[in-house]
Amino acid sequence: MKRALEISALVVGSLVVVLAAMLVAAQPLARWETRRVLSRLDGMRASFESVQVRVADLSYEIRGLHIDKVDEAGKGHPFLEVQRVRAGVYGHELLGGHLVLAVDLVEPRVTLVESTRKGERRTPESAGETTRRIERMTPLRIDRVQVRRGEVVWVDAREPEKPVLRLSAVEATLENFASRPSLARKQPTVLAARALLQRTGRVEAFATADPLAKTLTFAGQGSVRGLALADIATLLESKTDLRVTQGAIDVFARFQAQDGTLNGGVRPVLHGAKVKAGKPGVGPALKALIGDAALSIFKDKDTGTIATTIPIEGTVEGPETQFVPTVLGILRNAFVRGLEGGLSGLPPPKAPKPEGILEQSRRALSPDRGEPRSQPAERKR
Amino acid sequence: MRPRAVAVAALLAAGCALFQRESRSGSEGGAARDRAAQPERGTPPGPSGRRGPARNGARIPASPEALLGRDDVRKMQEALSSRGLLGAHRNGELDEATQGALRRFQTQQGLAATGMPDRETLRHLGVPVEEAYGPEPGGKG
Repeated sequence: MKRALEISALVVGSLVVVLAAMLVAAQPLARWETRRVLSRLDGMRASFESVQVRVADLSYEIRGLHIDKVDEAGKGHPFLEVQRVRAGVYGHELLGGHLVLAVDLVEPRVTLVESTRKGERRTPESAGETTRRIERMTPLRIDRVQVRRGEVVWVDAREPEKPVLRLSAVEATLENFASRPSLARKQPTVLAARALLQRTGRVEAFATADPLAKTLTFAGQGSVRGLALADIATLLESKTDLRVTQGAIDVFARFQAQDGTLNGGVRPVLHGAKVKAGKPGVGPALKALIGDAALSIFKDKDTGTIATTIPIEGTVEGPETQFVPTVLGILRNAFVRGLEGGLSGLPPPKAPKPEGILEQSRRALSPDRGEPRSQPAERKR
Repeated sequence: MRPRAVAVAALLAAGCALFQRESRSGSEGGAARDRAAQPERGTPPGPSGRRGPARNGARIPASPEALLGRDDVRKMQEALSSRGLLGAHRNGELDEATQGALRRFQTQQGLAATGMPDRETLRHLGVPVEEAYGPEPGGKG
C-alpha cells in the first residue's frame, strides 16, 4: 500500500514538474518558433516585439509584427505591419473533437506596390480544385477573423506620379469558414466590411458564400458613397489627362455567382462633377490601372452603352476562385466600372460649330446621332 | 508480456485506421452526403437578392437584410434599445439608425465596427444566432 502511494505521488509529482517545465518553456519556445517561421519567408524580412502563448485560453499572440519586402539591393519596403495578432482555439469545441479558431487583427497595415508587368498571369485553378483543396485540409472551422482599425495602401509604382489609393479605418469580419460541410452547420460564410476610401469615400461591403460548393457560390453587395473626385485626382491624371476639379461619386454594386455564372449590376451616381479636359478611353485606362489583368471576372457580353445600372455578367471560373479574393476583386472591379460609367462622356465632346436648340435636342434624344456636345462659346463682336 | 504488447499495438492500429476512415468519410463521403441530403432550393435571385442559392443547406443572400428575418432584426433592435443605443425604433428594418447603433455597440464590445449584424455581435446582444443564420430567415432555423 505504501509502495503504491509512493508510486502515485511520484507520477503526480513528475506530471506537475513536466507541466511546470512546459509552461516555463512555452514562451521561449513560441518566440523561437515564430522567429524560425518568419525567417523562412521568401524575399521578406520580419521582426516582432513580443510573443505570448496563453495555456488558459489556448491562444497565441504576437505584437508589433513588421514584415518588409526586400528588393534586389537588399533594401526593405514595408509590406505588413500589425500592432497585434491574436489567434485562439475554442476549448469547449476542442473537447467535442472540433478544431475551431478565431483570429483578431488590430491595426494591420498592408502596403501593396503594383509593379507587375501587363499580361502576367497566375496558374489557373478551377473552383472544383479549390473545394477539393479545402476538403483536404484538417477538419476545422474558422469561427471568426476580425480586423480592427486596418489600413490598405495601394501604390502604383509603374507611374512616375506613384498614385496612391488608401483604404483606412478598415473594420472587417469573416465568419464561419469551414473545411467540412458538417462543420459549417448549414450556415454561410459571411464577409462584412466597412472602411474609408481616401479621405471621403465611405465603403461598405457584405457577401455570403458557400466555399464548399462545387462551383464558387456567393452573393453580395458593396458601395462607395461620397467619394470626392478630387481625392482620386492624381490617380485619374496619372492615367488620363482628365483633370477633376470638383464633384463626388457614389458607386453601388450587387452581385451573385452560382454555377460559375456571375450576374448583378453596378450603379454609379455622379454629383456635380467638373472636369477640365479629357481624352477618350478613360475606362480602359482605369481598368488597366486598378483592375488586375489576372482576375478576369467581368467578361461582359454588352460593353456598349453605359446605362444607369451597368450589368455585370460573366464567369467566375477564372484564375482566382477563392471566396475572399474573388469577392474583393469583384468589388474593386465594380468600383472601376462605376467610376468609368460615372465619368464616361465627361467632359462632353465639343461641337465644332454652334448647334441650334433643335439640333441639340435631336442629338440628345437619338442615341444613333452620337452623344450630346457642348457648344463653343460665341465670339464677342 | 510480449503478446500483451502486441495486442495493445494491434488495438491502437485498428483505432487509428478507424479514426482515419471516419475523418476521410467526413471529408468525402460526408461532403457528398451533406450535398445529397440538401435538395437544391430556390432559384438564383435577381438583383434584389432576396433569396439566394442554397448549397449544403446554407442560404447565400446578397444583403444582411435578406440574411436576417424581421423578427431577428426586431430582437436585435430591442437589445440595442435596452442598452440605450437605439431610440424607440423597432420596425424590424436594418436601417441607417440601427446600423449606427450596431457600430456603437460593436465598438463598446471591442468587436470590428462594421455595422453589420455578424454572429459575434448577435451573441453579445443575446439574439439566438442559430435561428437568425439558419436555413430559414426569421427564426425558423
